Amino acid sequence: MSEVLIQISKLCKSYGKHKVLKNINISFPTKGLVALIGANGAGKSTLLRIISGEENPTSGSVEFKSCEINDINFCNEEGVLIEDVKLEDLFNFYMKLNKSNQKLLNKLIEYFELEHYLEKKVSNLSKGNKQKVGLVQAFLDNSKFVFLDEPFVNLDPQSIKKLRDFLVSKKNDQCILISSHQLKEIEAICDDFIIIDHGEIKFSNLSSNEPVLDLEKKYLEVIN
Amino acid sequence: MIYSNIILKRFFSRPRSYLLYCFSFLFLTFIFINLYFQFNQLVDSGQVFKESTMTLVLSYFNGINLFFLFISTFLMHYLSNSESASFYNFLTIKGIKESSQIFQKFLSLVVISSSIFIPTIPILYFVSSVGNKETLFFFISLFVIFFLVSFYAALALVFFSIFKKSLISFVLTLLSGILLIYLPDIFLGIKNYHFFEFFRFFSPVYHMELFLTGRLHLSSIVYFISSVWVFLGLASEYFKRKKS
Repeated sequence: MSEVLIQISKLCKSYGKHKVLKNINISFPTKGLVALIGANGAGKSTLLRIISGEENPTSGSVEFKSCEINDINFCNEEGVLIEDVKLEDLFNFYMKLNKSNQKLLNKLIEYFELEHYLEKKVSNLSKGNKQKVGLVQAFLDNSKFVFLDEPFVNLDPQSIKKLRDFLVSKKNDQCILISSHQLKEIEAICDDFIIIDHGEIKFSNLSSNEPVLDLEKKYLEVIN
Repeated sequence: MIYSNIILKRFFSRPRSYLLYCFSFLFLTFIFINLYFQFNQLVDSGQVFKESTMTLVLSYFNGINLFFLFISTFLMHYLSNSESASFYNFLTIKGIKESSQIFQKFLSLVVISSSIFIPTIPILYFVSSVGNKETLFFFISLFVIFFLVSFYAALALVFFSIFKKSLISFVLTLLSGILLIYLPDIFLGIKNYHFFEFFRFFSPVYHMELFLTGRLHLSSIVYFISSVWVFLGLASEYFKRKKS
């Protein structure tokens, strides 16, 4: 594997006696689409929260090798972080926060077809549109590391295709970690896969670059 | 002030916020009109002495203390409910440190609480002039209100930074605020004068009374500024600990 962007070593996380993550070791590359797959409660979201600094690990470390903490961005499962404002105001807030520019913002708004909702309150948007708002935010500042928690959920087939194309176009610029249950979607765009089960990494081809021909089969094989 | 700006936009985009304005306007107008009639009674009975008008004004300002304590606590509860841990973390990642988040939230609270008071300023001016008070007194009143608003906003921020459940923070802020307001009354029965003076100094009401005598006391200005400073420092520290 080429240059390492983020190195996770011997990472463990427990809530009381319940161990959520057990001895996680991952090295994220500087570029590419990486899929994080696992059942509900496998520890995916906890891992993402630890990478972003929202939670501290019980032991182990997250090292930012060729980036800093503010070089990361994310789109969580809910899509938006605040709902009680007009969409236009929220985008302006995101733009200033990400030190981005209007041109890029307009481009993303147009790509994700949100221009007709700018005057609407975010809380009145559909779940799919909220998801798109989160995606616009995540790509506003060309962060080195972006993680997307269930990005395909709530999107219509046409939007899923657009998102797929968009992610592929970003593949050579950023490292994008996608946590999803939609195996078909991620199999189509990702090269690297991490399968996590009961807090343990059961499979990862990040360092070996071993090709995965049938992801569903591999997933079922690994978790059983 | 990106965070502060979005807090204000969020507040003013909610229709319920304007209900708070209506309630506050009615409440303060009621207090002022009541004060006006009491002043008139004093004038009619020829009892316009400095002491009697002062007692009236002080009782009115005690009500204002409780009002701003409630408004600050309520605003924190109202705004905190829709902010998640992910949102705070997102702000930190994007370079707005915890201390800056606390400071920007404090500024927003002060702006909102002050703007709640603004519609009733002409009524306060009218009542001040009826009560034969000097114009200087009117301006000192505004100054006192600004200090009280800042004091209670900072106090509310401390409790809301300690606890995860905003209802607990809401109740504890109200209780500690009420305790601070009535601190001089609580220690009134203590025979030891120095002991009483010592505890009285920590109450915002004592400093408010000093201001309302018509002079700006340096010790009171220092009290308000340093209290706000200490509260914001504590809030920032607890906020960091709550995250970890």
